[in-house]
Amino acid sequence: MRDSDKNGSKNAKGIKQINYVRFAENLNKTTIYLIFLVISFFVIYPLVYIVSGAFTPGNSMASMNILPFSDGFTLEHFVYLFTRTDYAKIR
Amino acid sequence: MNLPSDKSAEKKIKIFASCFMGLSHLLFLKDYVKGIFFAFCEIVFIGFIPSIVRKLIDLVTLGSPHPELPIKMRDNSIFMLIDGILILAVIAVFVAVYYMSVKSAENGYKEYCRTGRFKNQKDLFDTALGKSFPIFGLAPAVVMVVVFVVVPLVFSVAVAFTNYSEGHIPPNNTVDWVGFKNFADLLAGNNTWSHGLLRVALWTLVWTFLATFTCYFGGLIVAVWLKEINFTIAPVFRFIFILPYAVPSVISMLVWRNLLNGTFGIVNRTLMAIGLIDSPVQWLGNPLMAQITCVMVNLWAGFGYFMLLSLGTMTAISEDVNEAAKIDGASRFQTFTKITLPLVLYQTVPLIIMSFAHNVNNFGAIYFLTNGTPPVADSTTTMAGGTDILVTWIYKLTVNLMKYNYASVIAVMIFIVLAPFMIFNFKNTKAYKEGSV
Repeated sequence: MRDSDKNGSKNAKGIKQINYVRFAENLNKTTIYLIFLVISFFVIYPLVYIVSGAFTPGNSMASMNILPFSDGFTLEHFVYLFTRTDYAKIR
Repeated sequence: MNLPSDKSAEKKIKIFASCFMGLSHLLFLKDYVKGIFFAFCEIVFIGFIPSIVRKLIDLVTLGSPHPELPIKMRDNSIFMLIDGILILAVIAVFVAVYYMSVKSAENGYKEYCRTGRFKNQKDLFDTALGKSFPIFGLAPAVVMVVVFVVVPLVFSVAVAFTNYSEGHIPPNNTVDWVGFKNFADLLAGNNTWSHGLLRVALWTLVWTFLATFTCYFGGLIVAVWLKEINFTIAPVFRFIFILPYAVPSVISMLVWRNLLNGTFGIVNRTLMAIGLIDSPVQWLGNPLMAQITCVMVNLWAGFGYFMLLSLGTMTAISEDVNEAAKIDGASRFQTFTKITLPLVLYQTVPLIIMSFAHNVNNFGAIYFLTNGTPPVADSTTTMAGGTDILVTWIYKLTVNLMKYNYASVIAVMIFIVLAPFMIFNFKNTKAYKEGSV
């Protein structure tokens, strides 16, 4: 912006400069968004398996399908936790 | 008795006060409340001298083996050791009270010389609530700290000088003092143990540096980028990046361990399904790979915290400074290295040092992720695997191998290495420098 103030008389050159600066800024932001998406993937990846493991039938994470939530949906682990074990009991 | 007020009786007062606590208070200074209190302390102590001496003898001998007795009646060396250390603490408190009583008698006499009259009990009450109130107020806290902090610390250090290990576990067997033998075994001995210690100590050092700096600079860079982008989307990413910090690290480490499993792990199966690799990668299978994995998973778990930290310090940097740099024609990179980084570093150096100490003792990150595996050459004797750091090794030494003496030696050495950093860190805090601590 300030470049255009300085070169007020040479309008055409100033606009070109602004376009260049905007382009660089957009490129910069896009790169950052891309990197953030990659980081987000790695951050969320295990967390998804923690959640999907809770709702997946069966007893082992090792036998889970590689796609989370694709083995079916069950609440039996929650039922087991609150009825068959002592974790939900206050005393 | 008449007391000269020209300071000529100072020696007499001192001698009487030193012979028996509170004697000068009672005989000369007519300070009966204090005198009776001090005398009471002394009488109680003298009454307990037989058992104190017995406990001290037990502390020195740590009991003698009596294989003929039933197990319950044999000498328990560890109880003797704890009792002895407690008694030492009691003796230290008694000596302190003794010193205070002599000082108090001296000061009482000086006061008498100055004013020419004895203190009456009302004055005494005033001092108790006024000048000497801190002593009464702090006494319970000091006793608590001595009993619950100092005694256990001294005990765990004392174990380093005994042979408390398998084959010498009370109450079946007794424990004996062995001097510096454990230190010699672990440090100077040219055997499996000293090689194991050197290997584990080096990896602990490398781990500490890598774990701290990857997390710190990872978090810092993400924070800087977060400031660059559109501030309506930034909170979404910030929320995602802080998620690992919100999951209990035990859970996330165990899940990572499952995901990275060499044969059944979901990571390997996914990579094979999309055709990136042909055979499973042993993420936790060979020592170097496991070490790299540990650092990366720790980065996953830890960078969010440092991101929040850096974001906080960066908001404290005035916008004016950045603006000025921009007008002077500094590039983004220059602004970062010359303005943001120094200011953020300056603010967070104490936290980096704290994080150092935390990572030296980062038990959860190693124990739940790899359990110290994979085994290396000396693992059969020392139980220390390729990714074991000193704390996880201490855990295995005590729980699995029952070598409390070696574990204690290692704990003492960690303390010796870490304490200077902690003291330096504390001395650099604002609270300490400005004299409010």
